[in-house]
Amino acid sequence: MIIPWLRGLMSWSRAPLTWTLIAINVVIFLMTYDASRPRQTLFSTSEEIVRTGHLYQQYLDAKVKPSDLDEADDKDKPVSKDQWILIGSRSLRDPDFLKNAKSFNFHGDDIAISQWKTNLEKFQSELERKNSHVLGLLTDSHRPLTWITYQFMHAGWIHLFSNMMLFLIFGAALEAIAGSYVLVIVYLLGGIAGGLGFMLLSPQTLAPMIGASGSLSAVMAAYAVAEKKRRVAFFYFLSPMQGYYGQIFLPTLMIFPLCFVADVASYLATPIELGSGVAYTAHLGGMVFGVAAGLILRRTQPLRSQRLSQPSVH
Amino acid sequence: MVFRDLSETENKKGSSLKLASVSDRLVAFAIDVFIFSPVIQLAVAPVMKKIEVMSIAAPDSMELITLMAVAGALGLLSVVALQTFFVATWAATPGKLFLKLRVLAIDGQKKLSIAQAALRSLIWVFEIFFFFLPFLEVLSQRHRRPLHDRASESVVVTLKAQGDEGPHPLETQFVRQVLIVCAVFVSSWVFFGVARVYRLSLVGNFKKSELIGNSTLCPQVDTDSPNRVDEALALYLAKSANEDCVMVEADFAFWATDSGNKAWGYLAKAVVLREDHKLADVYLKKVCQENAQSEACEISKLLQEKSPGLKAAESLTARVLRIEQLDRQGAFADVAKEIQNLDHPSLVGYRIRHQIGSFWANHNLDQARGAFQVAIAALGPISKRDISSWMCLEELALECSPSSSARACSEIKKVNSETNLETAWAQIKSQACQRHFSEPGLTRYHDLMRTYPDFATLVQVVVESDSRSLAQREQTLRNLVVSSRGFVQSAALSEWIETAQTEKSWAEIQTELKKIKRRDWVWQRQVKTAWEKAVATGRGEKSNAFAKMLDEKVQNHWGVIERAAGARLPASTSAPKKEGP
Repeated sequence: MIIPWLRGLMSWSRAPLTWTLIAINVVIFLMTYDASRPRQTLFSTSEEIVRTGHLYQQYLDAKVKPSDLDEADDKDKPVSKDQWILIGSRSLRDPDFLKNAKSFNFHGDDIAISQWKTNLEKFQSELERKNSHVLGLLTDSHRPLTWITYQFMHAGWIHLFSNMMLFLIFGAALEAIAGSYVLVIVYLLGGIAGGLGFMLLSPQTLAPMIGASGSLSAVMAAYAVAEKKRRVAFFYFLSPMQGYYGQIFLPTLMIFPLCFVADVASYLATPIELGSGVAYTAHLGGMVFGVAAGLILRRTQPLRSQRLSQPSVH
Repeated sequence: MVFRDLSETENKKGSSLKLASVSDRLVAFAIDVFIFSPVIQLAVAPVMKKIEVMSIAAPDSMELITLMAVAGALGLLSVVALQTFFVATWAATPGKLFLKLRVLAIDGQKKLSIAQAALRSLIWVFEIFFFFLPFLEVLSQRHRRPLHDRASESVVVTLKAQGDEGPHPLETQFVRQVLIVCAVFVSSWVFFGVARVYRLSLVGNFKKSELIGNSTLCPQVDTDSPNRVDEALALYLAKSANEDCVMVEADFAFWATDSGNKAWGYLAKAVVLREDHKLADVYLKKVCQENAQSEACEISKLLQEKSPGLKAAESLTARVLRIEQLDRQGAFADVAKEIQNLDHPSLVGYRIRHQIGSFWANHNLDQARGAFQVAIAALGPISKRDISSWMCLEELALECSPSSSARACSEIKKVNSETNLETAWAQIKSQACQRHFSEPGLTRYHDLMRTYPDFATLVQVVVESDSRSLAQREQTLRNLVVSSRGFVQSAALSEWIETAQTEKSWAEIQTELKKIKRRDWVWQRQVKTAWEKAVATGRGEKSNAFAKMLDEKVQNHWGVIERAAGARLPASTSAPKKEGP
């Protein structure tokens, strides 16, 4: 286990805005967390996903011109159930399909299709009532306020806890060296940059994006670039024997391989059909902004004389 | 160390290098893992994307295995490349840099050449495949030089003031013993594993799952069948296929662009979903909307009770339904005629079952028993189980005594397939007739009795017949007949008829028999038994009432049976007497 160890930074007097932002996140989470999810009748069984796959295939076939079809295409050739499940899962990430499905003329089991359309309508109306849908960022959204509100929403306790822990460490560190105003600007604009990354790089999806990850990535990147020569303490623990636990000082730029390279790799490794529960593109968008902010900080704003409690090594 | 270190240099005295401690090396390794992992993840990301899709789309395919091998190889190559680059350039990986460790050549104390660094890294990776055991030498070797250090003539040193003093003798001894034990264990495992694989390959057990059931459609349906849904539905009605088979074929009929069999698809779904009456009705109505001229539409009308029977019976489903209809009406001769024309490989068990049933219903007992003996040898386990259970119950209905030894009842014990209610009941009745219940025998039906509590009650009545009063037995059986359905209700009714004593019971039995719409062999046997019992106990009025429940055809049929068996029907004042052929 190796974790950052920034002692002394986390007091209220040194990082008031960090604590304020954390408190705001927690309060908004408590007010908006939807513990009960909509009853996913549409996608609860593999039979329904297979059916959705069939319908999606028909929808896609209708969009393809007959001249583009290969003569060898055999539309009646049975595809395995697993492949239909993949296609069905892919369809859930296509807002165009889900928007037009209600009026599309599918062929097949008319009774099952009618039931599917009814279930789809129910599912979408339940989804639209969820807080994450109202306040989160959607790929086809035209609500400007959601670019800000999504930064303060979280999907669950673990999501909130992990984000806030990291924000406490790096937000406090950035605030200590650059001040509260810089922190709030980096947080909010970094979040917007994260949203932009999500919009531009992510495939279309029905699921809204929520979380402070974009903002957090911006804060981390800004800190790493602004204090690139500084080394920060990490606490390691491999065993209780002497020599196997203690402190080690590593450069702040370590954040890039540890966090952002992993995000790029995860983004490249995520298939469109299956998607991912993590918006890596938002992290990358926030990171790009954070790097720019860090460079600007180094050039334009002298860092505060307040130093971190741990000494700078080498 | 197991073998003498041939690469060990002689003179280490006076060296200014301090050996790196094991703890520092381990921490450095942990930091390297943290730093390199994302980079390696990036290198294999495109392959991992494909693997994730293939693991769902084609989990058993060679493509997936190949992709995984490619991802593994890429990952290992990335490790080798990164380690070689850092060690050759800065004499340390990032973790070692932070811990102030350096990898230097053992002679000259200079940085390693690219070749040395590459060799060191390759052997380092190679050691992973031996469950990391060669790394243990860092604890035991005098200069903390495991295989990869000795092969590349390198050593890991520290720039800190305090260095490592080398392993304690106990450390060396411990690691040596661990390595010996592991070597013995791994060698044995490899030896026996290879031997087993060799033997299996000779026997030919490596069958791919693709050879069996690769088809996405129902395997029991003939590949060249013009109407797969009809066939699947017929097999389902004959209890030779399960509902998944029907649903898969129905869905295929729907999703195919040629919608010629859509009506059949709706019919199939209506039959399978019959528990949900509302939905089944919707599907049945849809059949004729889809194709009013099709046989599927006729069948749907029959199922909706809008028509008395099928005009034509060309499809397999119609033929099976007709056979079932004739069986319910008690027209056994017609059943025998229809069953002759039913030749489908998956319906063999069904055909034999009805043939034996027809012989039995016509009192050709020896023929039925002969057909049973022939069938038993040729049928699969499930058909064997079903036919044996039926025969056993019929034999016990003829004679239930300690001396009765129906072959069918013995055959049930040999069947290893999953037990159903009929089979369990046949075995329990067999034990009841022999007046001997073995506890292990009943225990095997524990799960079945837990799933079907009514059946458990019925079994209890039979098993505890000696300890219960007649009135209690009758009451329990009466409650079962009223509250349960299907096989349990029928079996409970038969038991009730056997044990009924009071006038009230006889009246209720008569009511229950009248309620039953079917006129199949089981019902006829129940009425006949009730008739005989009523006559035997001097209830003339009741016996007439039971006689009146039978129509002329059935009475005539019994006239034939009684004449064949040489017995006489009990005299009944108002039952019509017909001359036989």
